[in-house]
Amino acid sequence: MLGDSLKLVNNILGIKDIAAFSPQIQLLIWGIAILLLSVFVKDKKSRMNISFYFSLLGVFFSGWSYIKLLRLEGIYDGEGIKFFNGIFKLDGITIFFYGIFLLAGLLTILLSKRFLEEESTFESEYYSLLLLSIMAMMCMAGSNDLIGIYISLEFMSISIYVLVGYLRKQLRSTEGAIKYFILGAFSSGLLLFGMSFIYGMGGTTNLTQLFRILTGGKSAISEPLLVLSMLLILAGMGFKVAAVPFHMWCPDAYEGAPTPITAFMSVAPKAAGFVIFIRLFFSLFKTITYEYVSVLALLSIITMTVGNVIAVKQTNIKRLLAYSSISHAGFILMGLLARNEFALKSIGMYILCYLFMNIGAFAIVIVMRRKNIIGEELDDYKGLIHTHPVMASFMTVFLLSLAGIPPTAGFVAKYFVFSTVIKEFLKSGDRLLLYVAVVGAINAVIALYYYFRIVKRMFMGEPTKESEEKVAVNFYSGLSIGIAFFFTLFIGVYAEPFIRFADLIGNSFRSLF
Amino acid sequence: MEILGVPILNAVTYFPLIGFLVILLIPKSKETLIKIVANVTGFIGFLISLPLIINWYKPEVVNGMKNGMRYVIDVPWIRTIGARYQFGIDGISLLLVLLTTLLGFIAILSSWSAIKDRVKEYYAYMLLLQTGMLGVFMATDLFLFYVFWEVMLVPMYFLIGVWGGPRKLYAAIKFFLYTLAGSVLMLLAIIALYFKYISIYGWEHRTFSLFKFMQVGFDPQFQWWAFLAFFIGFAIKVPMFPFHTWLPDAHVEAPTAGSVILAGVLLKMGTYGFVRFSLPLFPDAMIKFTPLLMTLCVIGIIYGALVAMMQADMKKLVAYSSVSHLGMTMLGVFALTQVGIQGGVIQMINHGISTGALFLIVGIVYERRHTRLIKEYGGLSHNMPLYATIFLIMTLSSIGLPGLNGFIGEFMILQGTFARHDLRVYAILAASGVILGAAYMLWLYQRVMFGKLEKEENKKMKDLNLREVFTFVPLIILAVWIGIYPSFWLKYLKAPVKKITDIYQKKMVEKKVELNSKLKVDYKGMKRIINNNNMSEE
Repeated sequence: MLGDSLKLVNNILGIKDIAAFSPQIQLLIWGIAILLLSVFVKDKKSRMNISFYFSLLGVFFSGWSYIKLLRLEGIYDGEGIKFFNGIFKLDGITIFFYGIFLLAGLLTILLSKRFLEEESTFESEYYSLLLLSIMAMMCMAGSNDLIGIYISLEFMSISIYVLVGYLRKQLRSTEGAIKYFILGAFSSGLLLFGMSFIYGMGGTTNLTQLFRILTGGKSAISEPLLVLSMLLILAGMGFKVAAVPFHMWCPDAYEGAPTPITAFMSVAPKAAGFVIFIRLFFSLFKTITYEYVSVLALLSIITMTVGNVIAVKQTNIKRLLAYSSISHAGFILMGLLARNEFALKSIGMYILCYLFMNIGAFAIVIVMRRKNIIGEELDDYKGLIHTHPVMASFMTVFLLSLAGIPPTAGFVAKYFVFSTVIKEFLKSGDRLLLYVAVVGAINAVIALYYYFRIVKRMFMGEPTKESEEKVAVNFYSGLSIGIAFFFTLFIGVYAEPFIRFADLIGNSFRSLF
Repeated sequence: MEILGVPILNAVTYFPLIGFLVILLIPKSKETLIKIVANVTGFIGFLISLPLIINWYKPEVVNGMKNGMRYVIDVPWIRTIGARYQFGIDGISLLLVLLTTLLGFIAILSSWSAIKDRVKEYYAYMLLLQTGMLGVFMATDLFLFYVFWEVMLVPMYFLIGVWGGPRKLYAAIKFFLYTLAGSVLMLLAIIALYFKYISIYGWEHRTFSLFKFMQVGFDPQFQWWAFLAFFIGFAIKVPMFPFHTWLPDAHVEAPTAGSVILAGVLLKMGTYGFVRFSLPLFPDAMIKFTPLLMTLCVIGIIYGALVAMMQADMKKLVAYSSVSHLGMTMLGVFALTQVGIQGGVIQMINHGISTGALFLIVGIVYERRHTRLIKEYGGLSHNMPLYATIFLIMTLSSIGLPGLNGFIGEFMILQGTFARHDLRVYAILAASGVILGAAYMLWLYQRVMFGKLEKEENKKMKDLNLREVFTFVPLIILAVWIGIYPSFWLKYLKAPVKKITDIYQKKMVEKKVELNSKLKVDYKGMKRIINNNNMSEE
């Protein structure tokens, strides 16, 4: 069966239109294979192991096709390559985000094994849905059509709603899933509503054509209607990336979800949300400047500040990281304020750095989870330096990175978003941008305070009796933490190759139009 | 200049880092081994920094000078944003680098018996801190500078937070948050400078290099904003008057070695930042703000001294005396005259020596008695004669007695300030700080050392052992050396300070700030005196 599917894929790779989809197809095949597996393998333990390896293989083969895609000609210059009559576009942005999603997926799968063993609940759907959601995100990254965007967004969201509610015997997991689902459906409605206005004005769903019509200065385009649809889409996407005031679902869903899924959700769907931001706001609403900058500046300021201020009081580490991820969304929004190549690059860089440091921090939370103590309260981390010195040191590096202290990835990320705003400020002289930067700076200080509430407990607290028990870190979670740690430090010390990778997305700025 | 094929500045900076990595590999239980490794690293670290000064005037070093910097390392680092790995030192950095390696070693040596738990981590942080601090004094690329500037916050946080006193957690996070708040604003200003430069010279010439920025005359309005952001960053670190509140907390709670490093080196990073970055980059803003800055300095000097006088805790007293002394240092720097800035820089070194030593002195009785309250002591000179002698020398050095280092610094600062007609009133007010300084220090000495030895616990206290004496020896030698032969050190400062004052000379003529002609003669006379080292003692 394995060989057949490989041959099939290899055959398909030759066809041009399908080629763009080859990483997705790999994920789809392996995702379905995992589902089918549950029919044939009855023993729960071996089913669990096999699904794990299958999902790893899925990501591996998908990554392989991805690397093949990188060499496709014409991706990086100008318009990118269009497939399926212009519904799907392969350009630097798509390629960059493919990489982000695959990496996030890989790290999450590596982390899942131990977590599922610890929870002793397993259904094959777990890995299957994970792979399918990655696939949907990849489709999202390349969508050049309103319909395409919407469908892949829904595909992704539904997969993740289910994954959030995966621990269905736990009340909080169910609660989080329901909350996420209802608010998510509502936000999709808003998004669709906004899109319908655009369709009404433009008469097409293709982004390239829409751009020409909407920015062509035709009298049929009414400015207020365009602003209204922008606001609606902003609200809809605001839900997806958990920007304040659309963040209500976020802490509950993060807390309730299985921790590897929380780690995944805090990075991948957020990144996917920002792709849509880029695709829509950088091109379609290019003509709206005043409203765009002021609304987005406000959104960014509120998101950073509220996320950070609420995080200060949290006692559950998952909730704390949830609020911190809200404030990070605020920082990324800061990068969206300027609509130029540099801004694109800084968003890409931020997401790349954020991927490693945030999944790293969650990975430690997963590893530190033990049977007799939940390992999610901040106090469970008391004296970690005595019991698990390596884990405590790694966690400190991840938290320092999240706080943006050099020489870690987080600093490079912060540097880039601040640069974008300051650059735009010097160019346009709009004071609002300066205020955003200063608020961002103040927020960096607040953030440090609550991240160091964890560090304080780890280094200056005394371990309790239960927490003295040693945790055996299995190979896969160790690998995942190792990868995250390595890149968090490496980007901080020598960011050059990663900035070049982020240039992929910066350079395809022109392909947005 | 290279050591074993490594450029010397890299060797000096990263040698402690190697020690740090070695310590990480040693098991926790082998405490003596860890101590030995740390001490040896500290000592060798100091030794390899000595060639810097020994070879200073060698032709190959002088010929290798770039922008007035010696031992320059300049390689591309992050090409896409134009950040370079740019190290280099001039006379100002040289003195501070030597101070850092020396105090770093002394701090490590002084902790031998003071630190009993979590030995491994302690020495690891000490060495990491050392690398961070050295990088700050060497980096001439603003991006690189910022990285080092923040890196050193983390080990210091742990040093205060883990091995500190009763309110250590509060003090540690307060220290971290205060400094971070300032430095993030500075980051914004650095980015602004970067893009301002790009807007003039184009994206191809993107750079963070200080010297490139110095060539641009930024417009006054822009300077004003950027200066303010840098000012907050540096002023918190110094700390200058309204930003000083973190300092007493951090000092009181920090372990002895932490206090020594904090007072001796960390605070100098702020003053150094002003001299290295603010002064050359923002001359217009600097001249405009001088009255305000001077006022803050004078308030700091007098307020710090008055508060120090009222302290019941010895360490807190020394901490507030730091606020006062650093106000004095900044006064000299902000006077913008050759003598004033030279005096300011030499006073940084003096403060490092005398206050570092005073913290060690407090630490020694604290280790024996576990209290720092002045009223718990009295009459210690009876059973600790050696201790009393060293304490006295350092007290006098801190007060500014002629013949010891403090005098040179304070005299030059006051003279440099007085030389400027418009700043005389500040010099006069600041001089009162010297008197107050004598009052609180001598009073402290009197209460702790003289009188009858009444308390039973104090009678049992032993005098200094050999290791402890050894920690003081280099500091005493330096205090006397700077006191009676300052020109040996001042000669390194002349050229780099001249470079800064040249900028201002031009600006001042433009702004018609006239130097008082009569005092100008005195100023020359002072220079002659110093150059001929005809100080009263010789």
